[in-house]
Amino acid sequence: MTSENKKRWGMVIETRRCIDCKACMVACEIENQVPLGKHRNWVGQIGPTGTFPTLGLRFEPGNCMHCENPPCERVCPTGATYQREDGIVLIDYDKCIGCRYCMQACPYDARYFDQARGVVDKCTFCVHRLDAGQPPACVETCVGGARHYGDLNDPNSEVSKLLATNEHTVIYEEAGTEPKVFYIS
Amino acid sequence: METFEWGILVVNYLFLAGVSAGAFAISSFATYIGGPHFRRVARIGALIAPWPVAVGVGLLVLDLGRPLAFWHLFLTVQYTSPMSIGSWLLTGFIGLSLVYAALWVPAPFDHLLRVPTRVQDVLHFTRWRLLAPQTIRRARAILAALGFPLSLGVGIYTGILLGAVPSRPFWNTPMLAQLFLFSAMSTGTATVLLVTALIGARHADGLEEERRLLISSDVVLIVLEIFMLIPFLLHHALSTWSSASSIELILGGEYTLWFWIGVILLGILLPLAIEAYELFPVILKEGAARYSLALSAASGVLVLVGGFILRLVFVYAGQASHFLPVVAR
Amino acid sequence: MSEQGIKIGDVFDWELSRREFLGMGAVALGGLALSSLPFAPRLFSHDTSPARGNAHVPPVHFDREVYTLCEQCVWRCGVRAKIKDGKVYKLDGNPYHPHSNGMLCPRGQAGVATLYDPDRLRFPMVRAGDRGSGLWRRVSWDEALDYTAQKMQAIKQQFGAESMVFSSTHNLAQTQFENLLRAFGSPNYGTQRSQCFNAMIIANLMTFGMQEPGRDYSAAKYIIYAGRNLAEAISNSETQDLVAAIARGTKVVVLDPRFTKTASKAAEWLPIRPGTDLAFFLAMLHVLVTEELYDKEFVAQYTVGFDEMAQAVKPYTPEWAASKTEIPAATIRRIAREFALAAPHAFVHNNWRTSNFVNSFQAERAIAIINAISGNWEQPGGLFPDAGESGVPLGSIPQPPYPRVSALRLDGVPWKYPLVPLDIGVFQELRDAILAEKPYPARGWLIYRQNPIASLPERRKTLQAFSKLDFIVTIDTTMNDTAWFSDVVLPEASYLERYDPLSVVGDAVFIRQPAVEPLGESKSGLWIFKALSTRLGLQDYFQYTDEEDYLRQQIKPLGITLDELKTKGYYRPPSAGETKTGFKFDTPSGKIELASSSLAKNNFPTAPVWQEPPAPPADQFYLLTGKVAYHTQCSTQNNKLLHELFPRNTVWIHTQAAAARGIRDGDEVFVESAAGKVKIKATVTEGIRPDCVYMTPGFGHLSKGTRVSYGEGASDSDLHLTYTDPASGGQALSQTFVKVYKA
Repeated sequence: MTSENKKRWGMVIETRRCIDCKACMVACEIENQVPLGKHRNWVGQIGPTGTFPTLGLRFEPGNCMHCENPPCERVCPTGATYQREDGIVLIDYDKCIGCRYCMQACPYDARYFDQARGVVDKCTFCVHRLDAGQPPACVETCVGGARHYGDLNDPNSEVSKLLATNEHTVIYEEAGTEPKVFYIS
Repeated sequence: METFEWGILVVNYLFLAGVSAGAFAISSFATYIGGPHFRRVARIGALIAPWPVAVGVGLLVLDLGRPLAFWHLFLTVQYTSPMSIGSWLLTGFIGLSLVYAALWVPAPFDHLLRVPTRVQDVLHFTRWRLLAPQTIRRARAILAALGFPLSLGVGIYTGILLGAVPSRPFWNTPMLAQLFLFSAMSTGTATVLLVTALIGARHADGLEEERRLLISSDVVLIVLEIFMLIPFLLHHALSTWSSASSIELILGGEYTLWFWIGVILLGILLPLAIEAYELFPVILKEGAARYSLALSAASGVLVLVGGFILRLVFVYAGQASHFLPVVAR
Repeated sequence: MSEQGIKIGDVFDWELSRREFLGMGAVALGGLALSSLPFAPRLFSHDTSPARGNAHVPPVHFDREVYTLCEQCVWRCGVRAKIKDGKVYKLDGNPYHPHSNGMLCPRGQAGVATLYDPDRLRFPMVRAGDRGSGLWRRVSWDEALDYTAQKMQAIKQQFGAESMVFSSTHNLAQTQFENLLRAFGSPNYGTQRSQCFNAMIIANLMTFGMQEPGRDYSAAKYIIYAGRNLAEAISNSETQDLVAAIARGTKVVVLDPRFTKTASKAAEWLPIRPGTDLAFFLAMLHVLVTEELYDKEFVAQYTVGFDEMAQAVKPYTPEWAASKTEIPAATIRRIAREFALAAPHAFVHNNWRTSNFVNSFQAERAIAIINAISGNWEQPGGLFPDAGESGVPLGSIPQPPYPRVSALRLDGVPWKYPLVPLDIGVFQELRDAILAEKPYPARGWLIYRQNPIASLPERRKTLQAFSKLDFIVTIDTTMNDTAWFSDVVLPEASYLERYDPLSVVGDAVFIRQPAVEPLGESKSGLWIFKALSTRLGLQDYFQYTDEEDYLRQQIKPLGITLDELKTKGYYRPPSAGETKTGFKFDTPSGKIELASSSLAKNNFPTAPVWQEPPAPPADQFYLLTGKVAYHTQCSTQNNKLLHELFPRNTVWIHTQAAAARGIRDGDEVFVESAAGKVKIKATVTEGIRPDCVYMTPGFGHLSKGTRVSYGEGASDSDLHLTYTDPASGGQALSQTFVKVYKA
């Protein structure tokens, strides 16, 4: 495992391209068998702002930020939440006792409690697809082309190029979580 | 109230753990002051201490998504997780406080305090010998010494657990740990006071010395609580947007009445007033305190109610607070 | 036991015997050893496995992957169905299909929930109680088909074939549906088109000689929409194209009385008064003509009627239009000039739902003419001829000629609506004719993949029309509102379970094939039509043994096997070289008709003219309707995934209008028109003109057989009045005015 081969998965979201169709949400729910009523990803709505006829409306899709400094991992009492070498934060369901402390710790409300299994769950970045060389389900289906994914350590990846050529932000930067989902507006 | 992930079971646990921690602490404190009066306080505290927290822990386990998997907590120590530290703390505390309680069984039962002399006799109870009084006294002292930091740990760690969560601005303050600690001590003391007063009502000896100790301790703890709450409110209000907004929940928001009536009026001001009234003669050095079962029971119950509502408000308001801005989904 | 107090010093006054010391030591060491166990494995692990813990890892390898076509809307994107353990696990977009490019919209993704909807029809049923009672008797296909054929034949013998009405919404099996009705000998054919884009189609036919030219987004610099809400009325690939164009810097102008999501992405949103799009485009034409901002060469070479059209638009100044549209004259003038500057890499979208006002037809004519004179025909970023369904030559099944039909069509085509093509029709007129029993009574109705009770305006009239009929049979996948009130319900297999006739898109042909076995006894449309035809004595028109045989006959000219097509999902015949002889417009003159001779022949204005639209009284609102991304008209409300995203509609009302009526966000209100009244929750918003209210259509289902959608929200069909444009036969849905008040 040399440092050149180390991947660091991340996402870039272009909010100007998001039309709030929520295809990403449906695709994720089906791909990952998410219980009805729970969500691993979402589309936030900002607006309409202003007064008629000068109005604005923006959409902010999101999911688990797979933070570099994940508060969920910090607080997990059994070590069920862990971070892979490539930066993806995952849950070991055998160890999860369903205490939901991680749900309190996440500033992005990215986690949900799976009633039937008694454990907490969240976006896994479709790690099963990544490991097979496929894009996450949400990225693949995004009609507006707003969602991008890739290796942040590779300067030629789509995400690296987008970050290099556009101003970008993260959500709740002051939380110090160092999210790996970046926003370009 | 909204439904949150952590609900009434967690509130109950926090309250009960606090009562146990406080009861143990006051018992251990009384052990060191010594004297026949404080031995009775020590005994009552010791006998109370293990049970509320044991019930609370039972509730916590039931609240888990997978209650039967709780033992995973004990396969590891996650240093950064107050919950992991807490589960070990609780285990140690409960274990120790059970043994400690056993050492303090009242006279009619003290013939049960026996240990095997030789390893071969472990299964032959009839050959177990009584513990010598000296041994019992030493053991009590040692366990009181070892258990005191554990009890403070149990009292404070829940505040650390909530306080360590920046995404809940209402909780995210160093003051929370201290606030919970003093509330725990106060509720524990109040419980012991209640029981002492009830016993005193039926005893020829009204247990007045004990009650003086307890009432005085409780007054000190309540005053300290007030001096935790004031900076808690000020700090939040003068802090970041998320923080200041979160304190609105009890300064005009949906938990305002719960806080000011339940926590402040019922849990702090009224008991303080009652206890001050009881202690006035002592404070002015004009005589003995005004003891009455009614007053002690009232202040004891009020402190407990206030302590419960404190946990309730914090657990719910905390989960209603959020980093800002919140984007509607 | 003495009651001596313990002094602190006691604790330290302690002598340990050697045994005690060793014992304590052993205990301490043992305790230390045990307590270090938890630390050992956790501290130094560096796990890189994909997922630890219990096996909830979704599959990446599937038993089969089947290429087929979506049917959640008319865009029919290619999908790849991934099958595991005999069930469709997930649908991904087919990257080789130009309508999806590998992506699927939320409805397409939710197709799995449509496939496994618990409310799906599993077997044929015959009504066992009154219509709409929900009492059904399960029957075999033989019994259902025999009964249906018998009733249809009885109607034919007693009242003539024309008394049997056939209607269906655009779908892949349409050719065989039309085959059935023509073979049967009925002229009465209803499609949903007049609810949507009759105005657009007929305007384009009059101008370009084709129903809808294609648009090149890749090089467009300026695009104008009048209501086409591509961000919410998603046509997958076109929506993708629009978003990409905006990201590239294309200027988009949206005319819409409501701040739609498309409007929010546009560079300019003009909150135009409803019914006055025509004024805007007439004024735009006026500017282009008077300021000579059009392609003179193109006009001279490829169009006729310019002078007549120029004369017609003389009075329509931007100042005049400003008074109609409430958009400043300077803005109109500026946009016309900007458009001209960007031309020919610019287009005005002809929009889709143009069933807004009676004058929508004129607006569509104006739009077509603007595009024509800008010279954007077959230019990058402009319009181009769309090959439609004829891009690939397919084989057809042999059949005898159809019986001659002499009866008039009930929907007035062409005797009342001379311009409307026969395969488009005027659907609301058909319903009204059934109700009025004029020019003759209808007796039966065969409905396929359509929900007229939910979609036609004035729902109560459609229900009354139903009561005039002896026999109603519906072919569908769920017990929707129309099926609920029918006499016979025949279950069609869902789109993931059946073959359909091939779909031609551009220069390639795509297959719809079953991904899994059909649920229960449900069958494909092809099977149902053939089976019905046999019992009607019309088997000669359906000379295929089964669906695969039908498809083989279709692909015969292509020289490929069905298995090849099934494996790849599509086939693109090698292009026969550039044999493009000069393109001729399919108009009487062979050129683009700015002044239309066909219109003249039928006594309609040859060039676009202003027609004053009706306006609501001061205390009433225009009722606007329009799509959301999560639902397709009235057919997806029972899909539990889509229902979770958008369970019921609300009525949008402007902040001031709401305040004036004491309505707060979330309040229950009544919305009342001359046709009916509904109760619905209000959404108070700045994003709509104060004189308008908006509802998402397709809710308020009556059928208890669709349990998720039953009773959710309110039906726009209860409110809409029926107005028809005499030229295009298009509905004028926005001419319904409503009162809104607190419940």
